[in-house]
Amino acid sequence: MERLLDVSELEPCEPLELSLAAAEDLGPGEYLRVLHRREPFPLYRILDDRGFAHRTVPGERTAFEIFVWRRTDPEARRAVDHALDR
Amino acid sequence: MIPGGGDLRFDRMPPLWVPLRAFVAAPLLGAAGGVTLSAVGPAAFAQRWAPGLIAAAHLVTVGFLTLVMVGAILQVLPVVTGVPVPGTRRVGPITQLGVALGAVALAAGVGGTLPELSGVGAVLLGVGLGVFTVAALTGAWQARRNPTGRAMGLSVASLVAVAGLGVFLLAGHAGWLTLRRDLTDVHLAWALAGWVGLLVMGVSFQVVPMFQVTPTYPKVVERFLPALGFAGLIVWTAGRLGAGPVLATTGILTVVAVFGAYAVTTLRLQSRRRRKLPDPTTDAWRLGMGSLLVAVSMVAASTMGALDLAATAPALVFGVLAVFGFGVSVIEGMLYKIVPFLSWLHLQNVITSRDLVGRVKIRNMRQLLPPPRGHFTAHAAALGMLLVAVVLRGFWVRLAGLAVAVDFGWLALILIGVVRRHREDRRSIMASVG
Repeated sequence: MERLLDVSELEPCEPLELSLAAAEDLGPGEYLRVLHRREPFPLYRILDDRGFAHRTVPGERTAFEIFVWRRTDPEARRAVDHALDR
Repeated sequence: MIPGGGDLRFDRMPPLWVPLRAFVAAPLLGAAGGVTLSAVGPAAFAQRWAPGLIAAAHLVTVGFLTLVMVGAILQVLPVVTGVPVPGTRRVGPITQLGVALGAVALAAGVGGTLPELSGVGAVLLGVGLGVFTVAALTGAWQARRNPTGRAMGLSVASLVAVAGLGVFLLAGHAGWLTLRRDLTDVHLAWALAGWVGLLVMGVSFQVVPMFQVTPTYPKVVERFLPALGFAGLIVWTAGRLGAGPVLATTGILTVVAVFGAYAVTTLRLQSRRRRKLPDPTTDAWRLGMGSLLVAVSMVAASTMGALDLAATAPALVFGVLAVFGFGVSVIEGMLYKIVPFLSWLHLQNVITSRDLVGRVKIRNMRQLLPPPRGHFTAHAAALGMLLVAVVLRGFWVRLAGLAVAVDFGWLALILIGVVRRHREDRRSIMASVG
């Protein structure tokens, strides 16, 4: 199941803060889709260290969309693959 | 270095105090520039070659602008492009020490206090900036696919020309070589338009949309303006050094058009901010872009024969606008955001590495550095007083120098406050570990 977070109109450090909080809040099978104006390099490192996987693709409404899921959650991974295939 | 992405490793990064040390030391050197101007007084504004003016100007341009810009490249390149500058842990301290001590030696040497220090300044700046340019050009080459990486590369290439000519001129001041004053304008142009201008341009492609929440720069601006500005400088230099006045005019008008277009684009983007909350960073950048527009207009007028930029008063107004109005304004505005951002990011990494996610609360950026509206007002006042001092001279020069010292001294205190709050939060994180 998808959780959508639009941080495209927020000032640093709010996008990073909210993205991390939303990632920590993910339940089993859930993934986070972050709508962002910029590619958030600092976020990636922290996500990696906190046990999350991520994938960034060009967005439709915003320049970037970042998909985030728990590395230990194969169901969420499948949901991300499915969303990206569409 | 701070966490950026890709192959960056937190354990390979220098401690946060490496960049912060430079960011805090830089305003103190700028303040020394203000004190120098105040101490020398009207003689500093008597002509553009006045030793007191050259000393004060270099404390600001090398001691403040270059020290911050070097730190910004080392710290910001990884964050905005995901590419680290190789050897940052060693390059950072060597460069910072060379630039900071070199700026002081240069000022004492050319200012006439201790002329023998000109040579020491040349060596310190030559070594510090030499090490830096090799590392930064390597990093910028790896980040060349990114517009900011490319502009940073051109800016650092300009620094090679600035530093090379600067060290050559210093050797002239030291009496080791003949002093070629005719090369001063070439040194000045590459310093202001190449090193400062192109770096600000490249960094702004990232930090203006990011921190001021504006739309992104048009692709054509990101892709072509820095390269066109760099090409214009080369053409102007070739013309100036003997290839002929037509080339020189073509080159300088290209540079004027590039920076004029850049300033107008930035002001237009700022007028389309998505959240129009009052923000000292945005105000500082507006002041910077306004100053840049007036400065490039003066160069255009001079090229067309409508203004004599070699005359003392216009030359001083141009210098004040280009260095203090443009360079210092945008870099102070950038520091308002970058220092709390780096501090906050560092604390996030400490929390993650100690496995304390969700168990401790830290300050956010605005709590680490509340919007410094008062400081921006002091900066704008200092700029105004410098311009008044060019016209009225006399005691006004001393007052303007004092205002510059207050501006930079206040900035140092603000940044030290961020460091103090960062330490408090770090201590509370460590206390949670037990």
